[in-house]
Amino acid sequence: MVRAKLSLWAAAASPHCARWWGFVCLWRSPIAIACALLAMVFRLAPSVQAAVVGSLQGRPDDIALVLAAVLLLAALRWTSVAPAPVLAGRAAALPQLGPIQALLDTHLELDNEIDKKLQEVVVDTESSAIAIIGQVRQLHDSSNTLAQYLDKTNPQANTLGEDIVASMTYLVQIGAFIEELPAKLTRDLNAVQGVVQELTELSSLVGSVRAISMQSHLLSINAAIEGSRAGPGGAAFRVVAEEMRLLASNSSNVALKIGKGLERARAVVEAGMATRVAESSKAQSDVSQAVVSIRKLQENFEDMSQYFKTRFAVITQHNQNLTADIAAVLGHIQYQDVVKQCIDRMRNTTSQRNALLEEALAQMKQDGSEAAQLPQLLAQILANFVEEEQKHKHSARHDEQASGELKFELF
Amino acid sequence: MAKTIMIVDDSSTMLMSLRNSLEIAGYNVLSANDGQPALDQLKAGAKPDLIITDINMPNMGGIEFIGKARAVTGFRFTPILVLTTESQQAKRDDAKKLGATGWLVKPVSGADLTKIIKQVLPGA
Amino acid sequence: MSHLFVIDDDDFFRDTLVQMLEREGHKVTATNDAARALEQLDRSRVDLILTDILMPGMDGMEFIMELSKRSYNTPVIAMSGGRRSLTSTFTLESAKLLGVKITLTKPFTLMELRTALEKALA
Repeated sequence: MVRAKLSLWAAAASPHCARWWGFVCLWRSPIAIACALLAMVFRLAPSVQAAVVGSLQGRPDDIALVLAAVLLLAALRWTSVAPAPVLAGRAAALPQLGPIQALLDTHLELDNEIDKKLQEVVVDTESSAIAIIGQVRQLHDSSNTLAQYLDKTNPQANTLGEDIVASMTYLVQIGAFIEELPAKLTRDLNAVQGVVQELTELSSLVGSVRAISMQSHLLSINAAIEGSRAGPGGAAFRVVAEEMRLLASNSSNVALKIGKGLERARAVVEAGMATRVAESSKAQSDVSQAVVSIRKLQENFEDMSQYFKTRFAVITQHNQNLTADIAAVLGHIQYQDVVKQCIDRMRNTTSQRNALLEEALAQMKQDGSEAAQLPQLLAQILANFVEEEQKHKHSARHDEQASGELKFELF
Repeated sequence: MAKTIMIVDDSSTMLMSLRNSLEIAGYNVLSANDGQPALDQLKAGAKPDLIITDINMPNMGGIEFIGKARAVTGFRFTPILVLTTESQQAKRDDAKKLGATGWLVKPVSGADLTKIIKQVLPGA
Repeated sequence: MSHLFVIDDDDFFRDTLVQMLEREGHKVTATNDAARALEQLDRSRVDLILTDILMPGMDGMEFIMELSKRSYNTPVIAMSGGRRSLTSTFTLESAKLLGVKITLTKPFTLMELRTALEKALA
């Protein structure tokens, strides 16, 4: 009986063990047969096993009872193969479907909340993107206004520059003229000196004229005296002599007047010249000063013109770059659409998955067939998702390989 | 004379971004948020010199739109560019068969866009 | 061996610079007028341009802006010694704001010239 007990415990521990033990014992005793049969019993549910073992423990000698129980249960088992384990399984699992259903319901609720949020996110980012676009456009137009203004006023600036250059030429001419003045003054003085010289020569001429008329006067007096000596034949001679005397007298008076006039002119000119000579040396230094100032003014204008031209060029270029850079932002904002589409695909996929889970659970409540296919169907959803995402590789990524991807193609 | 470009996309963001980029570059812009309204505009007399269209749109998608647009009188040779997130060869071949002139991947910068437009629109 | 283009209205300086560059083994074209330089560059490009800033007529700044308007990507070295109240710092900083990366303050040594050339032609 110890062997029986031992074999019972072995079978309880492991049906496999029991089978072997059963075969070994079969050739020894009928008790062994009983044990082998009991091994089959242990293919039944654990609760039934426990019941059999318990009953056996209580009455170790009642083999017949044991055998009867074994045969009854074996019969039960073989007449209802399929449902029995399932009934047993279901009896065990039915209480467990309840929590799974509850879990799935909560899961669906959570996903629903998340989905709503994702939708909100898409809408929010779209509003933001559009607001940003509006702002960027304003910035661009502002910047562009400056560019257009600079462009429009540039010809004016050029004309102004040209005018300044022209004015500078006048200024230079004035400078040249002023520079010439001292020389001119000297030439004038020389000319005046020449006049004085002429006047002096004229005065001496006048002296000659007076001398000549004096001579004539004397000659005429002589002629008159000779004429009176000559008698009546000399009357004509006396008349001519008288005429000559009058002429000489007149000439002398006129010559005197001219002489006086010339003298006065010479005095005036000489007096004037004296002051001029005094002024001209002061003028000389003034002139050199003026010429230097004009030169400096000219240089200042040139420098100022160059300075403003340079600043203008820098501002224009910088603004052009700024305008272009601002416009470039518009392209990047398109990310919002790419992201939105990605989120939509994800929402669609989770929706498919959730539908699958719901259906699977519903099927499981009726029969267990759907449960087996669930992993496969879900795997299909996953494969579809991965395949679809492969199609949407875009160049918004910042890694090295993205730059080599084809961004556009002309057919 | 400024050229006119028609843009077709269901995303407001895309329409706004493209519209502004193109206007800044000096083009006139017509827009539609789906293939059908775009087609309606063409039939009603709109005369864009170039069309840029998305592929995935809720009612009439880009592929269908291209086929139908080409059938409208006067648009047999208008350049049509596809602008989309996809870069699959199969879809590209589909579009090419139906008469698309080129394929662009989102997002596209203003500079790239003007460069391509200058290539397909002579004298733009 | 690179083809260089020198623009400077100071004849003596320009000739000296051309000699120095040729001795360094470069081919050099030179002119005293920026407008003429643009015409020549329209016809054939070079590897590097060295230009003075303060010149009569079209000055260095206008020249550089014209280059970028025509999308020439030739590197440019700007040179300046300043003039009266316009310091070389002012003119060269302004050139940098137009996109010039390398500048030389006149008068410069052969070493400084070599360094600048190396950086520009890299």
